[in-house]
Amino acid sequence: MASGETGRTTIQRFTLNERLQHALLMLSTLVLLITGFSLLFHDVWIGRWLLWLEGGVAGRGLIHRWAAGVLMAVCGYHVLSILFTERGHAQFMQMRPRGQDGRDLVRVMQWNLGRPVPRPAFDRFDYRQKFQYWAYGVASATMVLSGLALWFATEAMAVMPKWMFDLLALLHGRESVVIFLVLFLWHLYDVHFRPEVFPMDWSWITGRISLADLQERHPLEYERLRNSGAIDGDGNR
Amino acid sequence: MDRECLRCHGDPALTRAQPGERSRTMYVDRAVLARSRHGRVACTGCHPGIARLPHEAKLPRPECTTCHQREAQAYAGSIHGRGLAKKDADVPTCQRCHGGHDIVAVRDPASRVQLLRQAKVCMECHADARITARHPGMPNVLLIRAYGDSVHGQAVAKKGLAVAPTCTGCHGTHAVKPADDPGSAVHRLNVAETCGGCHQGILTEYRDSIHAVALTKGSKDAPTCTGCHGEHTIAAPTDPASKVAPRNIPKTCGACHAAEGIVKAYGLATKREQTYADSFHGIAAKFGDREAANCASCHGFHDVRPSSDPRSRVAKANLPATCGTCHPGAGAKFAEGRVHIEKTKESAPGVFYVRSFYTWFIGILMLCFLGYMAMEIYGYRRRRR
Repeated sequence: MASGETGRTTIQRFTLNERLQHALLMLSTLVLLITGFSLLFHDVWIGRWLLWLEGGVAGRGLIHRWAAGVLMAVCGYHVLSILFTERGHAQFMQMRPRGQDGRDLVRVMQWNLGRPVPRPAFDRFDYRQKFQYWAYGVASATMVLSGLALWFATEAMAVMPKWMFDLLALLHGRESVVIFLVLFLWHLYDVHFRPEVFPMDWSWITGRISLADLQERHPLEYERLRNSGAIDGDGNR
Repeated sequence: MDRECLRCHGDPALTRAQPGERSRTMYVDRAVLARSRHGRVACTGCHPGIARLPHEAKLPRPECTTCHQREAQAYAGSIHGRGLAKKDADVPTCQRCHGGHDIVAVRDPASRVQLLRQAKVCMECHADARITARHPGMPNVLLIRAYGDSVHGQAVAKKGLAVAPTCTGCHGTHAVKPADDPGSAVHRLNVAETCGGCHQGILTEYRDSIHAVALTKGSKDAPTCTGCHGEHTIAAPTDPASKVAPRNIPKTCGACHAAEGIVKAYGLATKREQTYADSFHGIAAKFGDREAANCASCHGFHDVRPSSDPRSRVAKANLPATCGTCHPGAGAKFAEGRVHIEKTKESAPGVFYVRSFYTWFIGILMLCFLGYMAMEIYGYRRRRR
């Protein structure tokens, strides 16, 4: 972690760049979900109402494609930053799933259900956060690929049969529900309603986490930072 | 002789009053008669039964038959002529439509039945609710009046197009018969020929369509022109109110193709309207996309044929060209797979299985999320105690 963080009670967890990526993803995904669901639910009042708001199918399509453009740009930037920046690469390496994540999940379940086991010690990203990252990543890739085929329908029709086109259209609609669940049921619970963070984990705006929270939620990272001298010890608690 | 007649009938004050009748003028305006088509016809040429003067108080009806035999024959077989034979007083005779002493040629702009004015003459009776009330077989006056707003009525009234049909253009003139009479120009089996009188190219296309074939085979349901376009309400396809406006086409075709009885009776493919409505084309069209395909975009309209017919636009071999009309990239490869897909295993197995997979996947995912939350909150509360 960057030097100059000693002597403070909080530490930077997300850079401004990362927070902007998150904000843009949040906005574009929200717009994509709203404009997408208005098509998915076109035969009930909410869909009809949304379609009317968006200016019919033509307006809806235009908004949806603009938002998709933003999403793809951020995703592209993200991949490039993993490949070509030190920070991005380091973050990604810590995001890789490991066998330990599965064992952590089992331990957390045992711990919550009252078995006499200690709470597992997490590193910078715990298994919940990794699940979110990868679930969103895989779902987004699915959406981008199927979405591009639907966007460039005429070109896509030259290379794929109708049944594949139908499958992609179906996939695009159903996968959006999966993304909705991952974000609204899981992610929002995780960053708002989890007892540890209620009413909100502010780090997505401030980019900072208190050392106390870091020690409690990411003890392995905390230890590593303390040993490297990047942060002070107990004096900051 | 005429001079003899006009000695009395040239007097504007001459009237006739018979018991039970209002007094009627018996005056004949010499100038009007002279200008008429019959200016050179002797009075007795039309008025028979005058053997001496002064003639008898009651003379037979004026006789047009002497000269106009063909018209008289046609009239006698018409619904009007049959009514006259039954002594129906509402029925129009020759003079009711053509006028009397003022009669001029049909082509003459002053004629009551000149094409641009002719509809008014029919409407004098057919748009009069008092007359239709006395004759239950007559069509509703609103239906008759709708003609005025139709593309044909507007062409005549607004654009002065004499080639656009007025009443007689479709129903015929002297021989007019009700639509359920096989001899009527507007009988189901004759409509196509009648419309084809002007719309010749369309008739040629239609004659070969599955609808025309079924119609000639005796189908009582197969649509002729009016089945899709309407009759008195007929509107241009560009008119949003038209039955064949792009947005209304699925409903118009669906009137038969989504009707269970008809679909069953003719062994038609099922759920065509529903599967279209669920498709991207259907949704786009419903919410205002004017370019989205409707039934006719792919199946054609006047020349519509079943997919089993190699000439059909939706025959397997022709699909690349048909889809290619809007999607230039769509080739032979794209034509693989069904178009109207239902949510069943047989119709579209791939879609069916992916759909089923997601139903389960989404359900299980929700349970996992909710279960995990419940577990964490349970653990949190247990530890706080």
